[in-house]
Amino acid sequence: MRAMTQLVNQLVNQLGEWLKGEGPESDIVISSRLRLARNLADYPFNTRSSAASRKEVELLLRETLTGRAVDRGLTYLSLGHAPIIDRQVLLERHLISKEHAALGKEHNGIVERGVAVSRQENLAILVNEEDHLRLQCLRSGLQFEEAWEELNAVDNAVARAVKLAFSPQFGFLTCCPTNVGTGLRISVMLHLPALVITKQLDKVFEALSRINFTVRGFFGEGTQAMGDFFQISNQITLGKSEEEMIRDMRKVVPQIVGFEREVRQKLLEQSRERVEDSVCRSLGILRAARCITTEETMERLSALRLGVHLGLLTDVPIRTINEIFLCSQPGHLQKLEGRPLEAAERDVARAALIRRRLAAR
Amino acid sequence: MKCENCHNNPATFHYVERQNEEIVKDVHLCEECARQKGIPAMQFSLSTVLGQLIDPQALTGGPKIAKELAEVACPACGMRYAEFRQKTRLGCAQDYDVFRKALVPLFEKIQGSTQHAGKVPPQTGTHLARQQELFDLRREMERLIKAENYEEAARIRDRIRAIEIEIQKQRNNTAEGPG
Repeated sequence: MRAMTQLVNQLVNQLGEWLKGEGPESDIVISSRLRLARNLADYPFNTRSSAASRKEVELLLRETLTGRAVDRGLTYLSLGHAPIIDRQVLLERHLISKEHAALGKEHNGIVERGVAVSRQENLAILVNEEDHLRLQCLRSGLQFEEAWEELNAVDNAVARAVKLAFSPQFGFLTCCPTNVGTGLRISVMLHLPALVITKQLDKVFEALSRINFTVRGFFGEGTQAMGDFFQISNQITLGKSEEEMIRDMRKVVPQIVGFEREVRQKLLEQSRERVEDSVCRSLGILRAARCITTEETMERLSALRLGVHLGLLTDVPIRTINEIFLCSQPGHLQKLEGRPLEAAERDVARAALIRRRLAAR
Repeated sequence: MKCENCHNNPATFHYVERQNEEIVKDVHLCEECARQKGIPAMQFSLSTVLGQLIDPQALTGGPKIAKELAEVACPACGMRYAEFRQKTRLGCAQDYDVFRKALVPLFEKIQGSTQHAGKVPPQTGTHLARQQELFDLRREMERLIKAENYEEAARIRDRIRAIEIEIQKQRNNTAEGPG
């Protein structure tokens, strides 16, 4: 438990992989994420597992992931009894899913669960989520191939060490039939403020659903979109190879990126003053506010981000925006303040933190 | 599968029309046609959509397969078909065999395919010593130590060491490639 809190304390003071703001197309593509769903062949899936069986799976996988078999210097964090703030921080850093964080249902969730993370936070392997294993690799910007290379190597190392549930016909066997086959979910987090402003997103979403891609919220499945950030991922996992799936995604993402860029330029040409006004007003509010919610912060930061990439804002580095983006979230905020805060207190602390960070350059 | 209304877009909405609990027909629509017919997209949660798709009544072969499936339970995990339909989650690897007759048409609908075309896990169960074996041995060793059977525990400890050395050798021999 102490090791967990220590590590989380370290994490809050660094920028995670996905917020580095680097990599190809990083003006629009925040991050690329690949995830593999895997189960052990000789244990029941978590829909029908007993606490004892889950404990065994956790111990076995913990040993596999942190030991020589995988050999990536991963640190295992046990989540079952971890403080709620620590879990919140891991969720905000996109290292664990909402389900895995089990916020608000501390005593109902599966206790025998955890996550193995790498120092740079580019690898996060969830143990005993819906499936026994969810292996994730994150990269900032558009970097599917690089992420796949790393993830595939880790997956192979795991598969050599433990027997995975696999059938030649159906591929990797997962708890939910929508993940069977490759078990691969490819996602990108996109920042699409211009498409939001011009109300063209529906067009994009409709086209995406037609070719079997889905749009998810900021924290993945079943969550809301915030601050013009959207996560797009594939739906089909059976019948195509991993490389084909990545190629398909490779074809789709640049089109959305291109569309957003085009609309951004048009906005700039047609209503420069309005865009500039929105950007500068947002900066003004963030510099002056004494009380601000997470939602408003995200909205204002989204405008700043757009301003920077349109060249309208030159004195706020993207790194500062990303830092505020992460640190102003409820878990991070409380961790940095060093004590639990009520929602109203958080709004005050958040406004103060933002003012400090914007002044500190 | 194409939308049966416009015959153009892929069908992403599947449901059965019922009259007094009797299945009248299967309906397969694309998102656009579903919306035109007044079916709001958000009305479908993953579980309800899947639950309906898993309905054996809606499958080819209908009542006969439905009856057959209603009687099977997985010998490994005990999952029954009714439970799978309700939860839309499988209980263990064997379920994929036990419920194959329902899963094949389900995959055709939701995945558009029934054959895996991706990677195959490397060297399952061949020459490499397994983590699982080590794990079991360690637990056995702990049990023996607790039972104060030190002689047997020492034998197992030696076996663990031998396997670890073997794993190290193999790691050194096989450089990790991306494939």
